Amino acid sequence: MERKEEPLDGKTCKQLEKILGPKQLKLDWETRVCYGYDATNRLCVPDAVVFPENTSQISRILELANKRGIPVVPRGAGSGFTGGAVPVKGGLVLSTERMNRILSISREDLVAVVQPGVVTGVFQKQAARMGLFYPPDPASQDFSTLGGNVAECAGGMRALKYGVTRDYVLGLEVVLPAGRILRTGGRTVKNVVGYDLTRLMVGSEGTLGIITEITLKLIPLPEARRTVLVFFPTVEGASLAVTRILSEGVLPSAMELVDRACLDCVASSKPVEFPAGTGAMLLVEVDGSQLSVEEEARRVARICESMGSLELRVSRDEAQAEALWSLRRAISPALARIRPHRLNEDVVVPRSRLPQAMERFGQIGQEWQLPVTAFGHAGDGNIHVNVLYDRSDLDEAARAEKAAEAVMRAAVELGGSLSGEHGIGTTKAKFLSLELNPQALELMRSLKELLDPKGILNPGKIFPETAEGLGA
Amino acid sequence: MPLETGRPWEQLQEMLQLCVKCGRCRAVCPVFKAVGVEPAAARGKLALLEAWIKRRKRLGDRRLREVISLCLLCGRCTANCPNGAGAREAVELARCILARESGLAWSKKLLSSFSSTEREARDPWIRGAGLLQRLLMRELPRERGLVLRLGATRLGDFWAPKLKPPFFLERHSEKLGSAERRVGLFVGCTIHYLAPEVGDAALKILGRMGYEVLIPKGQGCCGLMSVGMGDKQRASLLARKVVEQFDMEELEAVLVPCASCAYQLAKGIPELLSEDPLAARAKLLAEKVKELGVFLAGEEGLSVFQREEGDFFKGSVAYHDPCHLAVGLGIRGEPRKILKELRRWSFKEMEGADECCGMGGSFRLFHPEVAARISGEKLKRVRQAEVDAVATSCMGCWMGLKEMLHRESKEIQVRHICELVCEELEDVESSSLESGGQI
Repeated sequence: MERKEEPLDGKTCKQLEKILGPKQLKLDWETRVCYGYDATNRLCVPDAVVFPENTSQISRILELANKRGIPVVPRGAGSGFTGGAVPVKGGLVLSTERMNRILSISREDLVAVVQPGVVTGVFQKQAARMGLFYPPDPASQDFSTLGGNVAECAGGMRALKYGVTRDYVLGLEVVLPAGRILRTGGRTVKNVVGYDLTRLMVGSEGTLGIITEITLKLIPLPEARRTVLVFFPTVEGASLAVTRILSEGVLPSAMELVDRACLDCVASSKPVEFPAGTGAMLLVEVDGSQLSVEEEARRVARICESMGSLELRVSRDEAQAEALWSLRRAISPALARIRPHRLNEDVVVPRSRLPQAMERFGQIGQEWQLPVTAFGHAGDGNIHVNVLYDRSDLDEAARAEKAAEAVMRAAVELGGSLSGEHGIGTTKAKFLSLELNPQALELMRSLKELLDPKGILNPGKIFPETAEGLGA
Repeated sequence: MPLETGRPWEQLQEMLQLCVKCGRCRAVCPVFKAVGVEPAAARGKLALLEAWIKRRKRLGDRRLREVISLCLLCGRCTANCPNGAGAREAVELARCILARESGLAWSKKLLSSFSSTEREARDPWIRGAGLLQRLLMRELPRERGLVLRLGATRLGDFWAPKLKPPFFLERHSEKLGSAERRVGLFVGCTIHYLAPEVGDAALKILGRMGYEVLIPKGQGCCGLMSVGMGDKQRASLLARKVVEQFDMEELEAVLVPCASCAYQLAKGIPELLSEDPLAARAKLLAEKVKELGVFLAGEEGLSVFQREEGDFFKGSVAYHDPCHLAVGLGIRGEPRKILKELRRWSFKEMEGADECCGMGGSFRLFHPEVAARISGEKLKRVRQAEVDAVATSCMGCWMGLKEMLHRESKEIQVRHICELVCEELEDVESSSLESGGQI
């Protein structure tokens, strides 16, 4: 029977086992396969999977790996969209699943200390029980981990009002490639002592160090929320409403824009009522005190009506709000029925360019003759452009790649960015120079080299492999 | 053995294609929550099968079988998959292929084959086992050497359901009552052998409501257990038997007091027999199958629960959602509606009511440790609910709950919804007889 022998030599395995014990080191092919992919659906089988339980084990693993030049790829839930957790150069996958404890939540300091393997949604619920709020809400919050969220700097729908993961990380414990343990930041919101190493680590995609403990900022849980669902005749109209709502002084917790193509998808599989002539749907959520949400929901409704909305629904309670949001959540499953695969590009543009961007994305779909849908966090300009295709159709797959590239180029041309919240990983590495100027790229490379001279930490990520990189 | 390339393979490959590895199943899979490593989640299993097929490996490797067997078939992954990948169905199919490629393990073969022998031929054996069981578990004091010698010491902290002869189908004739409105009753194995009282309760309720009930004697096992073990052939055999037993023309509905059997009759059997000469009848049966609680909830007869002044109060009851009912058939409201209408019990919603009990057909037999972890979580939920009883409508869950509560907290009763309804009816009847009033 053909079976790939574990390429780690016996001595290394023995030493790993000494650090971890037999149960936390897995060499069997079945386990290795299951830790070789993420949500990009690309599989690279690692040589071993390790399940450390504490910082000191991680430190010793890295020390050993550094000495032997073995790649180490940290992995939370493997739910990233850009290949961050895929061991493209083999080596060890280091799973943080066993480090999943919430160490403390302090109501007085509004601070929590957690291990990296804690699932974001679990943490949010625990905080909410204490009347506290951890706002970052990536769509994967029910299964992605805080460690992964920090490493990728995950965003979400509430970013408009509350910011993204980086805005809630006060301090970190990070194991550096040679095994040294770094502590950054602390338990206070204000801290200007030296360089901001915390921010350097947030979003570093596991290439600079392995996060072993996270100190997070919390805020009081808002008392109430209201959802307003509005249908507009055009995407442009809806996009203009987004800017108007903000300029009139309302700061909603979320503003999601859904184009007609997405709505049609949803309507093909479940009863959705929307007025004739609908071109786009806008979901606006406001939160705060009972009084303020009533007032803000009214103002949002008024603004939308004055801008020619076709129909407007306002939630009265949680159940109604859920019903309105279920429309948004139904999009993903619905898209899958059009084509089984998709390239999900999380490009972001300045808010004022949103109407142009939406138009351009539509054109790209036509140019490459592929269904391209756009929906997402309109409030912060972060649009999820989905290029739908079928992998088994090679021609279609090739066109999808081209279309996705066109989407990214368009976003950068409009003064935006390649990625709002998914990171670069492997899938966007070759486009890095589209956005970063040579000096920035050079500085990033030297930082990486300084911290990880042997290049053992998550190799093959972020930086384009020399020749592959595209000219700007 | 060569790698098969027939239809099931292609079918499996197509199913695997649909998983894009997003990871959402990690949030809902009870096994993953208990074990905490990727191969336990649906995504892991599908990835592994995909990789396995790509490498043209021979299926049947012990470790692969282990991974594929580590699934409750609760269907949460399928129900929550944003891409419409049927992970539960893929695991089922993979088990079938595995079983065909390298045979079932002897223990599974035994279990599966037992369920398909003719009931009449099987019952005397089970009765014999019942005697032995009584001997071991009741009549023999625990300290006796025989218990040790029979290897039964491990039963010490294990609640085993008692066989209760005469079994349900032996207790009743094929037709009860005579009325215009006629329904069929399918009871399944657990009620027949271990909990005839649940079936009795169902009959009483239906009689009280004025139904004629047909209980075909030849009804056997619904076959869900065989499906779970990958024994599709046997499951189809059993399915045919079930379908043949019910003459749909004359029945208003076929009622099933067990959620798992109801799921199998409504969803599993028509699929198993989709290319069988009996396909049309299987479909008709599926259309008429109703889980008993759902049927009762839609009946006006339940308005008999008018509490009289001075009625005694029995306590608070929580509801446990069986996976096959809540996830499989999407039924959550009706059982609660019934419980809320009970006058002698006050219904209390339990947090995590729809979390799995860990029984999963034969899952508990083959993965006792994982099952124990899952049921341990459930037990916490039941305790936190602070109720006097937990009601459910699946006989698998009924066993699972009884087992976990027997060990930990004997004060909390485990009841089938039917039993509660029946008791209430009887109470109402007896109290109205005493007062000479009308119901």
